[in-house]
Amino acid sequence: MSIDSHILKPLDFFVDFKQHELETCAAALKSRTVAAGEVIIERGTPALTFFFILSGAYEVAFEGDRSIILEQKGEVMGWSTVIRPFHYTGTITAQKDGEVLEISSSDFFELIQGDNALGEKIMKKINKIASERRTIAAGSQ
Amino acid sequence: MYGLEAISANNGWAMAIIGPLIVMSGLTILAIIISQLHKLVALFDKKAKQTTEPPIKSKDEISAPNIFPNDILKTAKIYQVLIDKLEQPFELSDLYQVAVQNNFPHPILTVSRLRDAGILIRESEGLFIWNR
Amino acid sequence: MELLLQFLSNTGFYLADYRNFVMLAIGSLFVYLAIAKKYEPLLLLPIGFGVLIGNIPFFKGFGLGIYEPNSVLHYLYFGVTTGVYPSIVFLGLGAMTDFSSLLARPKLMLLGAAAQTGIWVTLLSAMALGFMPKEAASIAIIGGADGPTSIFLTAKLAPHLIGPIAIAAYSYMALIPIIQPPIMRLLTTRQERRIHMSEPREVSKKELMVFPVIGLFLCCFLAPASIPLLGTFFFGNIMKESGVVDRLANTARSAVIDTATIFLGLTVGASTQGDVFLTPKSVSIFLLGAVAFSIATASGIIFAKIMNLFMKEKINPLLGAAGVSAVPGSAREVHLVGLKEDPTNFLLMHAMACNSSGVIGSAICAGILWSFMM
Repeated sequence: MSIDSHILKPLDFFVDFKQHELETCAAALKSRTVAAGEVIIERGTPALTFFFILSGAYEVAFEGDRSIILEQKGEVMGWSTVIRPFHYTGTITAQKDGEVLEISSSDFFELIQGDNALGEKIMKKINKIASERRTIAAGSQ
Repeated sequence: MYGLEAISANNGWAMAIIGPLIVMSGLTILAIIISQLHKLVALFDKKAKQTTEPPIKSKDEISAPNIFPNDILKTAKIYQVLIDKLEQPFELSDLYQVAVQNNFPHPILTVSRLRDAGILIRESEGLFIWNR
Repeated sequence: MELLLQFLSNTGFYLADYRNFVMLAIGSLFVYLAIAKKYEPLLLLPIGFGVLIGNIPFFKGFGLGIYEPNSVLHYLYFGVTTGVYPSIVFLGLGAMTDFSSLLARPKLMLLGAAAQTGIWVTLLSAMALGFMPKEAASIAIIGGADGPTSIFLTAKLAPHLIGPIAIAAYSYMALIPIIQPPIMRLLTTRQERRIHMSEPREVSKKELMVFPVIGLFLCCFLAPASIPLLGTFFFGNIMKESGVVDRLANTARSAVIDTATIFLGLTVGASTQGDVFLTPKSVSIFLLGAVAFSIATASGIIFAKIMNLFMKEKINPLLGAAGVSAVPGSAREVHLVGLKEDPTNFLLMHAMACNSSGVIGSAICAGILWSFMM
């Protein structure tokens, strides 16, 4: 289901986005409800979609026993969709019913093609998140 | 026919020289034109403004260093002049915009560092305050 | 009994030969990769299923095959042979392309021109291997790394080679993450890969609106044969940037381009009938395509290094690899290779500039090659 830009405005990820950038993102993102126990990302599978949390709590289980819980509105899941290794590095399971925003890699690259500056802005943010998560994932080994 | 003989017989050498020259010269001319485009547009805008509006007093320009110091507190000091231009609390997009207008390098990364250092603090949804 | 025997002799089982099975296996592999591995599904699914459709054996003369006049597939294939589908795809591409990074740094346009060198080197190689000039030109354009452009030129110059050339072009586009990074690393030093590009200036809406008009005039006056591609491309772009026909621009970059892509993929796939496709020529085309694409990548990088000899503000030579027109695949690779070397080095926007320039460059090359062969 497509969304309205006002949903994005309060999310931390989009906090410095201009109105037209929010609208572009909103047009590319789709909302999806998630049921408790649902596995939305499986480690090792090709990363083709990434998500923003709107509500709910999600456990990310990395290789080994290390895991983290993501529950803050606007947090990103599935960054490997746009950055190497292009396959998911953790399994993400919904801990309770919730809602996420999703965008496929093909839609994301279409967005980059249509607005280079916005694409770079998003990539920079995702890269920062990825390096944080990599540190967590590396801690498990 | 094969080899160099085939290339010569089919006029290949001439095509392989003239072809890239045409592409390169075409795109070079296009590059030169578009590199001047903003000046042309600005000139037209200026003319249009002059005919419609009275001249506006120019604002004091802020000079930004080419490279920002690694020390975030020093960076914050440089950013203070931009913050003074904004009303608190402000949206990060406004700060980003004034940074770009004043040719501050890498505003996205710098704003992100300022947030990490607790100098830019979120006050409410979408609004930030300067903690200095 | 006679009727039954006659019927059986008309079935695919009776008419099949080994070439059909080879092609059906290739088609099935494409479909599998698209669905199970989700590998380039937008390209591989229509092409793969097209290969399946085109290689089911049938009784010649029934008006079923893609090469038989009056067959349904033949009519759908009309869009390929006349260059209609590539032209429509370019309309959609124009409506989704942002030229702001190119306008902010026009120098990068030269990298889009330099990367077309692969086309011209391959032209010579194909001629040397005994291909006729029109065939050689069609093979050479694979070096532009642009599927629709390759199909367009081949349809005009060597229609009998559309199948292998289209498959080769799309295959190499899909293989960018495998082909380009080793060439990038081979031709650049670690220090060069770490060069940061300064943030581009902000580009005004007016500049973005004027650009398609200037681009159209200059490119199409220079190579009028590229009008079918660049005419629609710049038209799509002015629809996007003008903001006065948002509805049309949205349709062009979604429904219109999707429809053309479906029929382009399906019919190009169906044109790979075993007896036409499985020939020694196809093998040469695939090899030459790989050469073309590699040289294109390398020449872009080398040209960037040459530019650095004369420029005060150095450019990251990796950007040269994005001078091919595979949008945004090659820009993404450049970005990722740069990022791997230095996690704070973001090259995406700059690479997109080279990429957009590559689209224009390869379309001009197609126009020039077409006029050379007229």
